[in-house]
Amino acid sequence: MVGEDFAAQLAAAQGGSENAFAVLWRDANPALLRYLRVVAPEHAEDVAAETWVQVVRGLPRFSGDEAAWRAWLFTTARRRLLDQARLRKRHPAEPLDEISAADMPRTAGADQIAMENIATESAMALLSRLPEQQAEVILLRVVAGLDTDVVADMLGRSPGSVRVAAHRGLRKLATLLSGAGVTL
Amino acid sequence: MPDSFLPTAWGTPPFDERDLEALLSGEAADIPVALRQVAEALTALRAAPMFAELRGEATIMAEFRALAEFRALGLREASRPGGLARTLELPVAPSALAPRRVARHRGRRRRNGRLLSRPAAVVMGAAAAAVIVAAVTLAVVEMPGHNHHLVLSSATSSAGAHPSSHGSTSPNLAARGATPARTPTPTPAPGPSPKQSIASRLCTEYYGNFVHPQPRSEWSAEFAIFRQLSERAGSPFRVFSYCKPYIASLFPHGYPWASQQQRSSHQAAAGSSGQGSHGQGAPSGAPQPSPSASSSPGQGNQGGQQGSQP
Repeated sequence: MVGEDFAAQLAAAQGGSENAFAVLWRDANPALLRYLRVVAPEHAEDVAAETWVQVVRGLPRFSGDEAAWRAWLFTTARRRLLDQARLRKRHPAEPLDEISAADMPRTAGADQIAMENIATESAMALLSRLPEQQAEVILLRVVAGLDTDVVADMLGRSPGSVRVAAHRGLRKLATLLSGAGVTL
Repeated sequence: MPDSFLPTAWGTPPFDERDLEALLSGEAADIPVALRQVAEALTALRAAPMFAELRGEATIMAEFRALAEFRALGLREASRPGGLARTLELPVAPSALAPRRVARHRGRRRRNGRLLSRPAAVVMGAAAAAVIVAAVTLAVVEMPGHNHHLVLSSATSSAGAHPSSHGSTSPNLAARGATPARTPTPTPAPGPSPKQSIASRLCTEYYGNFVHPQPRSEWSAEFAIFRQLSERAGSPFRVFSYCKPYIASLFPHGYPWASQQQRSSHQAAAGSSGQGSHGQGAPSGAPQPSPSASSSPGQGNQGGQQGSQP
């Protein structure tokens, strides 16, 4: 979260400051990718890019606090996600040939980076085992930092149903963790 | 014996709704033991960004920079529809900025098309007018009772093969009849017709010059009269026979070009009969005097006129 400097950073970004916009982007983009990698793992990068392009175009007209900023960002991502789903339904893409892990390009610190981020990757993998609605609600609440009412507004559901879905997801996550003996 | 001495109530969940809501809100205090693993998982989701999650910063920064430049130039970002798609605005030539030609109505174009074909219509109209004029001319010329061709008398008229006709009303016009072989002989009528009066006048005038010779300056007028008489008689050699009925009064003593023998016989016959010498006793079918055989001044005058003919 940006915190108290959010308003200043937003105003600077709306005035054309690249540094201010970089601050906003570095704060929100990881959460956005984590959300998208759980909800749409195959097209997370593409949807994230389209989301940011649209946000950049609408940035001068945006007004609100950091919660509203995040709500706007994830709402835009979700709409782009639905558009992608419709597009894939009309024009299904043929998958490319699978490349084995040994053939994947590697960088010097790839192994180290993977070890450092294994907890995050494991948590996202665990959330992927939850029902989609429960996982999405938990991600929006935890990763995006949105409250129940905002998430309910985004999903078009009541706050009570959003709360129930989130609790059910947490219980199931606990069951999964206790039964599988997973240690994050 | 049971395997475990623990009470069955220990299996109840050690957390409630408030604990779950605290997990979602990120509150880490007083987390139940059963939710610790879940809390650790949610904390991992909130962890610091990974390297891969910051990989697309350059791309989005380039997009942000481009939009900022567009705004600085005052261009509308609406000129870039379709997200990443950009519209390249090329410089417009001044000629392209000129006002467009006014669109012409279809009816106007049709009217212009007709104008383009107007020369053809004019040619066709002229041809039609020529055909009509020719048809009217033929109809007038070939009217019943007017089976002749009206031609202007001229010096180029040939001396022969022009049978005279009495249909002409103008002394300058000669009528070419359909019977060229027959020499027309005017028949004296009780009342002189216009044609007869013209013939009498021409004949009297021409042969009066024989009686009263005119100076040389008047020969052109005599030649004109002779030409008209030649056309009326059908030939210059038939002028005398043609005019004989009209000129007998001019020569009470016989024709000047008649031979002395003929003149004497003519006078003797006239004296015996007591009819005078009006010349009317000369038969129309009598042999015509040859102009070349005469030696009278009138003959010479006539010969001179003939010599001037083409």
